[in-house]
Amino acid sequence: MSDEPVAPDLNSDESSEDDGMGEIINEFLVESYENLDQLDQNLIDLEQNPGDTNILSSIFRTIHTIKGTCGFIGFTKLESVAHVGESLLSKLRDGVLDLDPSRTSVLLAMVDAIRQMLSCIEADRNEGSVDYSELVETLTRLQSEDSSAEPSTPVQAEEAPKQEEPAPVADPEPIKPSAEIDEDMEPIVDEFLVESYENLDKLDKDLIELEQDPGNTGILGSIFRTIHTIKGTCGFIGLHKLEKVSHVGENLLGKLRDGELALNPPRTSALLAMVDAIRQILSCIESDRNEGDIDYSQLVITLGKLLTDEGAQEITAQPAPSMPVAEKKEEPTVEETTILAEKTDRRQSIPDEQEKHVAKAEDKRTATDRQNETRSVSDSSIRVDVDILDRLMNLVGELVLARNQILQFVPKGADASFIATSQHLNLVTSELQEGVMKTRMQPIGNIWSKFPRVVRDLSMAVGKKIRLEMEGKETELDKTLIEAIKDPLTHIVRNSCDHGIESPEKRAEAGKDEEGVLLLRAFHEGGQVNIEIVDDGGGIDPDKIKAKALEKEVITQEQADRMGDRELVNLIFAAGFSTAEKVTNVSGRGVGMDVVRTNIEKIGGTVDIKSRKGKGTTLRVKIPLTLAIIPALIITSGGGRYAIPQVNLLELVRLDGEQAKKSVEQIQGAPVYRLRGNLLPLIYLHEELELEKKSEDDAVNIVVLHADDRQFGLVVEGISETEEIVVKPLGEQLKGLAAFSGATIMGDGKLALILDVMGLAQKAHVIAEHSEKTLTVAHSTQALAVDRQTLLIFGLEEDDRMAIPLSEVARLEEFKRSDVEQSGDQDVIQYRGEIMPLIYLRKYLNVGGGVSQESDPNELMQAVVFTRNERSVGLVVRRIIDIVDENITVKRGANRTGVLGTIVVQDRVTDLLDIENIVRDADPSFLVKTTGLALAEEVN
Amino acid sequence: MSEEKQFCTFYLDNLFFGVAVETVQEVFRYHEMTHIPLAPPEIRGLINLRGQVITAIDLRQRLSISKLPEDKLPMNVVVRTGESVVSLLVDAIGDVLEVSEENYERPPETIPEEVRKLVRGIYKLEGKLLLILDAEKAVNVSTNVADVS
Repeated sequence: MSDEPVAPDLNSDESSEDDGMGEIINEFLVESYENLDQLDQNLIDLEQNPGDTNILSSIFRTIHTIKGTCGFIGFTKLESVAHVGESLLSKLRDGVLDLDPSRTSVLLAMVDAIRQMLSCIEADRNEGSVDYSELVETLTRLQSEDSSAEPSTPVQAEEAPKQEEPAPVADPEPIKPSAEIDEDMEPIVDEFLVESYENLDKLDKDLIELEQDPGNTGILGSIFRTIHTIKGTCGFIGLHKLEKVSHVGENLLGKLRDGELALNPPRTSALLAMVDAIRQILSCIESDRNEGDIDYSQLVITLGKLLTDEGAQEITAQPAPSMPVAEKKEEPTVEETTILAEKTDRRQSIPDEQEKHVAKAEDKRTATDRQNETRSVSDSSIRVDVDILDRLMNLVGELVLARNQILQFVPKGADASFIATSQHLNLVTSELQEGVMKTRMQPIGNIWSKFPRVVRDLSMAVGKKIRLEMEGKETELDKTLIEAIKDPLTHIVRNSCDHGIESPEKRAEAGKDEEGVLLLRAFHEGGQVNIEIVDDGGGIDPDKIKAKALEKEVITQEQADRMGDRELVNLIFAAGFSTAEKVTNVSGRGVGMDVVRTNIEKIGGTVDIKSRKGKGTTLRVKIPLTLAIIPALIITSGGGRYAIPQVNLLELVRLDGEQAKKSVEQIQGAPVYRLRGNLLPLIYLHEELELEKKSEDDAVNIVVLHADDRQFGLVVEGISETEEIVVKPLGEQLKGLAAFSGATIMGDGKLALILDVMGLAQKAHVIAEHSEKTLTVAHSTQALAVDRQTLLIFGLEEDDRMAIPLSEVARLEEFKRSDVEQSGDQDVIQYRGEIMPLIYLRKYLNVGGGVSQESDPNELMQAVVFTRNERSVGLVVRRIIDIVDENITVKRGANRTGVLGTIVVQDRVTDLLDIENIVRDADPSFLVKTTGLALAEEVN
Repeated sequence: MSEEKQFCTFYLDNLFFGVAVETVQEVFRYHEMTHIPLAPPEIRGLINLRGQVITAIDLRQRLSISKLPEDKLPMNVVVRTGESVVSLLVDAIGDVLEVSEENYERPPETIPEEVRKLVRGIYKLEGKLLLILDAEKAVNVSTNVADVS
């Protein structure tokens, strides 16, 4: 507290702050902002449950606190607005008035006004020049019963059953000496306790200082405010004893502050006794949830007497009938209190009296003892500056790096104690990192608290009925992430309200409930935080999107034809896209969703959208739990080291040379690997990075990764260990490199780039926006339409064309003529460890001239390898032409053996090879155990 | 008015450059760099500067001057422009010079086009020209390749 006398000037219209008040004001601001957010939420809740007295009381208390405080700091404008609002609220609380939308709206408007003034105070240290008299007038007007008729109300003002409940909380009548506290009030009570303990400590200190400096109006003001706050709060929780005590004390303080009375030792003592009494009651509340049995009536009487100089001399109490500051009539005045008269006392004996009272109640002593033993509510939390936490985070990051470096120095045969120590260091660092991370975690409910208001305002603005539900409010995120997703989430919510949910009429027509539901759901899964925004609106029409996208030339007709519904719906994230018929100031400008996606991807997250026309839309946002320190797999390729975030990593597959050759297949020129039946597209990292392969090893290391629900394999040269790395961002100049998402400093001080799995995949087209390659995958999983097949086109002569379904083809090979050997009367060749028979298709099909032309032993022969039941046969052809996708419509039936029919491929007449028959003829035993024979027969 | 300004100077080939001394964070000898695949040739790599990862830009490449001979290692001038910290690779580092405003002129035509683009102006000194590098433009190397879909 400042030492200079500060006189809060209650009469000025635009009060400016005296420097001594600076700290009080700052504190006031922080508190009030918190309160206002809570207030918004409460008002929305209240609208749903108009009769809920608990919510009303909570709101009342908040406004009351704000009002109380700003009065003494001297913000009269703020005070008057809060005051009128408070009057309205009390009438609502007492059931004198009903809550209807117009009242709710005006209360919300009041909250906005208060917020506005607070920000003026924050910026300029004065209340600003906005005139709120109209608001005040409205608030006043709505306090009369016959307030103006409101437009069609989405929320009916029907009596909620709760309203009739005899809530002891709001009942100002017969004050029971020890009131039981309503269970629903528990969280409020806890908060009240924490606050009040803080306040009481301050109060003690202030009172002592005041005694030294009795004229210090600044301290007096502060004390007044504290008592006033306590009094205000406890009234609504139902702590009437406490209220009584603080009320009388407040009266005394008021007079002291106004200079009507002088502070003398008896008064100081009485006030100190009051502080003790309050503390005592609070600890009873904390342990037993009631005010305890101690009778404070003596104290009350004494404080009352001290209100007048004459009364100090006299015996009979003369309690002041009205409070100097509070004007509300609902507050129990001193006359209402039933004072249990004890023997008359003289003020000097007050301290003794007090002690006797304390000595009387045995259990209260134990309660006090208990308080000292167990940690009270106020000890369990502490306010910390965010900057300090940020610094801590950075330091932990550096510690992790240093630890990594130290671990490098632990070779295998080192000193045992050194190893032990470094392991200990390792453990402690990891736990420290986890712990610090936790300090910055905040529940997502913090940003969600704004949404009820947003949804309400929006739905009124666009004339729809929307109910907001929230699941998983307590899901925690790092603070910086919360900041980052605030805007994107807001935009998505606004979009759903504006475009997603239909008007009540449309919904009724569609047979839906007139009230639309917007569900926000958050949960942890797989190391990420998932946030879903689900609405049961009209969904997104893929055709409309397609049309719009074509119109805006976001995609070409060709691309449009190839896109599935899901991809079309995801087009709304494309830049410059908006299907809203009208651009409202809410949304529809076409710059929203792509910015949303960019912002989410900036923090390493993904956003996806699923929609069913007529049913609704679900947006799923996934963000990694931490930003800075992630576990990663270190790999080498092309002579460099790279890090792959573990969150993208599925498994590792190693194929030695032989296996590699066999298992890595080629489909349409793209390498793939069959992993447990699924085809995995492969990317060779050194190729993607345009580096030279440095490793001599033939072995193939496949890192199986997933991004955006799709998998692929990254072929690297070497795999090192998994490490925890600190992510360092790349500079602006490198932002355009899709393959990298950052860099890290390794244990040896060298740098490694962190691969951006999604970026890499997109760049290599294994995960395309417009699934060009899905045909490849679909083909092998037989999801293609029946009449469309991939065919291998080859020729036996210069100019002819034949075709065979690619699915029949195991491999395409080349042999030197000289490698061909004889086994019996069959030409064979050694192939992959087995002996493979060769079939000369030319001979078989009697195509072309004699065989004599091919006599050059070094000549290369082309063979199509057909494999069945682990046996292969090579069909020798002249030339391999192409692989195409075609609709097969047999134009001509079979006209000779070995040919299934004739089709037209690429505008050329092509014979479709009857491979089954050919092979069977050549070697009847080959096809044993096949059922494919039937097919050939049928076609014939 | 004759204002005195201070510039941190360095050499590139036969050219003498200066950057405002306030923008220079530090200078040091050759530092090992980690190559960045797929980056444009002006970006030589990344440097670990006491735990901070900074991009190293090859000024010779940037100004379309011939490369340094293999055996000569460049030096680093770390500049801070706005939010970003970048190291410029130069041949050699000169002194901090104080020059007076009156010697300030526009870059002459004799300076090659590529260089002139990044030079704000020049100061005439005894026997040589001090070219003032536009640091912001110099570090503005973009890797935004048009996305091929």
